[in-house]
Amino acid sequence: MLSLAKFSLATFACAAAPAFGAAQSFVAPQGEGAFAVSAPHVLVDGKTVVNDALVVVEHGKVREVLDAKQKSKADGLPVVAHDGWVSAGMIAARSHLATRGEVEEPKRALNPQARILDVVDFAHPELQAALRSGITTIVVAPSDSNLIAGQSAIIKTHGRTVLDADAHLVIAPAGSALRINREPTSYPGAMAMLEREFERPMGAVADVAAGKLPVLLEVQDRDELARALDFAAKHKLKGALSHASLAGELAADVKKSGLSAIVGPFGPGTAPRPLDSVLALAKESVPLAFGLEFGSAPEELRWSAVMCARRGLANDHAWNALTSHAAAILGLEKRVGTLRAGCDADLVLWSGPPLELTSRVKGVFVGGVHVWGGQQ
Amino acid sequence: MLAIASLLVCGFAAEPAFVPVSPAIGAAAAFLNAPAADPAPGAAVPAFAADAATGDVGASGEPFVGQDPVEKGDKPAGDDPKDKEGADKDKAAKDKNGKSKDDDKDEKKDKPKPKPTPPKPKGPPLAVRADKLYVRPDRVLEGVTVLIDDGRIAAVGTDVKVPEGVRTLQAKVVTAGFIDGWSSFALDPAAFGDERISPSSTALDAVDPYVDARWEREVLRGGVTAYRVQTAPHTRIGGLGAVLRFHPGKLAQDSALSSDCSLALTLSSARGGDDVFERAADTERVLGAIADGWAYLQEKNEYKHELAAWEKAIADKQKELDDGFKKAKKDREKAQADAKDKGTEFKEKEYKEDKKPKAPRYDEDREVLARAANGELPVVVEAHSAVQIRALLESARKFKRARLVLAGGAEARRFAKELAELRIPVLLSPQPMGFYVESAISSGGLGLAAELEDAGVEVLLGSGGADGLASRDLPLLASLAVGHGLSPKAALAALTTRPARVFDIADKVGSVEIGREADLVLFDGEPFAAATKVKSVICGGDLVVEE
Repeated sequence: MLSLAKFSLATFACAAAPAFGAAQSFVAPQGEGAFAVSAPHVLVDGKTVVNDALVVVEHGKVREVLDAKQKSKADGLPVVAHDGWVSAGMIAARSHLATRGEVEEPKRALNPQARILDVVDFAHPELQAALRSGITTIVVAPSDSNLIAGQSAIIKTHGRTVLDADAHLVIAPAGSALRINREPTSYPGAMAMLEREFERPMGAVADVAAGKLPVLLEVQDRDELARALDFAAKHKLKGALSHASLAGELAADVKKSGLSAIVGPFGPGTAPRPLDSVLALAKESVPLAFGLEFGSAPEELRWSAVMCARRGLANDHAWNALTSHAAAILGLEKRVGTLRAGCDADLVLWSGPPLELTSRVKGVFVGGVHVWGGQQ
Repeated sequence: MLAIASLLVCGFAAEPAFVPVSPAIGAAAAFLNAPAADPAPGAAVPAFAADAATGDVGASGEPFVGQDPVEKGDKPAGDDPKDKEGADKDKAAKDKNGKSKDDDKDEKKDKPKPKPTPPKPKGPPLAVRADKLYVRPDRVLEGVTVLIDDGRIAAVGTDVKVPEGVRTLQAKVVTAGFIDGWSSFALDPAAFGDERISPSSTALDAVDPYVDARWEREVLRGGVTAYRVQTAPHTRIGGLGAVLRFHPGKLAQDSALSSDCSLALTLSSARGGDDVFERAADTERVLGAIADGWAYLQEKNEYKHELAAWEKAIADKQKELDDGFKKAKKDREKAQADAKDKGTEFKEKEYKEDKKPKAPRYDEDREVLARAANGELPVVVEAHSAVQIRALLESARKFKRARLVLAGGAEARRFAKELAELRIPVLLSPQPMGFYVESAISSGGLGLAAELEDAGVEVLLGSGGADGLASRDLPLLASLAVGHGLSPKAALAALTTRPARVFDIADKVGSVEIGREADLVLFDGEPFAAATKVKSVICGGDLVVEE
């Protein structure tokens, strides 16, 4: 058995100090085949830290995480020695990265068959920037400017890996989707249009109505949220609320709906209400994940979680929202978000505890392939 | 203002109960290098003349080179333009507004200005027991007690005796309250983009005095106790800045640490549009303010010399006349008699009077610019592009007395050496926003603070003023800078001692030394760790945040 240390406040605090600016450099493995990453602390998930550990990687997956006593199991494998923390890669549960702004159909309000994957530029430097800040999996979504905005995709930030080409249908019964020069022009009009689509559902809408395709419900204000929750209940929608910055003020209703919540990003100066809303959702155990906005820097994802942690969200909860909970919301909990055996070897090598802003990403592996940091 | 001044000057010395008497405390005080026996701790204490840690010397202490020296604060004796030209000023005011001063008074009656709250007695004495106390970033004491009385720090030491009945707070780590050197908290929205702001406009007039105390507590919970605010942050000349406290229950104006801590200039690439020459002209125009101030200073100086020469000439003439009075009278009588004898007309001897030199016209704005050019007032120049920063450095070389501070400085990297040489502090706001935070090209990048610090530049940190509430997140922004290479010690200095020194409030706040006003933050861990929580905050001696 692994000796599991509690990932407590104490471990966060006491490990904060060491080695600022010290040149921490590891040597990445060459070629294919199994190898191991050794580190003083390995964060398997929000609650589990293995000290003095080895992460064994085989065929691009995590084979196992070994503690000090079991290390002999990895004898003979090449070892990447890292003098810090190792965690799973973070997940941005909503973003518009690598789309060059092509996230909205300007003339039609209903675009159930539009796929964001068709505009994703896998060579875009934004993906590299996300990678460097420890984000290895992202949801790329169309914007909230159309009633049915299109289908989102889930990709890795390296290697053109598509985890889900049609992950959600993005539905925005919100002010952001109303226009003066095309329908819908009003809330009632928007709801009527949506109902019409769901009366005789076709294509992606049919998948949603059948419960096969989750939705990303883009709403802002509380009245929009309340309407969206009613609609979701009526049509038994699965999926997540996106934005809904005050959803926590209706936390019990959100919990009842069975929907998850994708919150953030929260920049410096975010008002107390949206932050308290996150705490309320967490208290009601609504599954949480963090998302990015247009033009937001990837660094904002972790920053948002730290803002919530400062406000009172438990550290392990904040970390899970960045990783394992986000994976579960996306239905990918067996593939990404943790370092449990069998998961993709998306490893982030940190200089210190990952939720400390004083810690930095020193290296990244995606699918067992060294993609950034360290020495070749 | 009078109320504030009296609060500042009144010292703990007046209250004998807690003056350290035991030799042990005396020794502790000596160790802290604090003016333990200073009778008036409110008076300027040159605590930061030379910072051993960073080797910085107050820029104002530099020898003057090149131009006509004007002593700091030197005003021609009995020739204070404010007195002498008061009449002119009133006249000008009347000309401008078509109203006299009395009219203004009437107007004041109609429109009540926020009344200063009466100076209420300071809160009860407090004691703080700290496992670890950052007296200053480079001076850490363990297991100490800080005694606070009458709003000030009365004693710091390992065996300070806490008088009976004094409430004692416990904390793992205690630091001086953080100062946000670049904030827009409580700034009236209308004052944000006002292009008519002039150098003598004061930020104190642009701050909402009735800001909701809940917002203040929000920021205090982050450990930030004071902020510098500047009117119209985006206009060319933003007027006089102020350093205010987040003090719930007190008007911002009453909790001011400084009502004229800086003059702000903004160089913006947005102005002048695409035309490179117009942009250059704009830069020249903005930095020209310093030159204008210098010119005014010289005019005043010239006037001072000319007036002295004139007065001397008049006095000499007077003496000559007095001495030769009898002879002159005799000569005159003789000349009169001669004229009568000869029947010619008698002509009085004419004396030509020297023309009295004319004082330069009193100009409120130029007075402020003159103080800035003379180094009495730091000048915070927001500039980002290399071209602007180079222009700033040129100004710094030309006007050696001016104490310039570079704010923003996205492309300051390549000027790090020069900034260090010219002792120009750089006020940064390390933001997690903006796309390529790692890149050195589009924004300063989060590593900028560390790189400048390593080059010997004094780095200050601020929340950037984009959002008033961002002051709350200043410690997190500092953590980001630490994550990108800035030492925690430098980061702590960037939030405490450095802004205090640069904005001339080091005698009041920025360190936990005897005689300073008591702005303290009580943490349950190291200040830049994410899991650390602020337990309590003491602001001006009052316990304003309590767990």
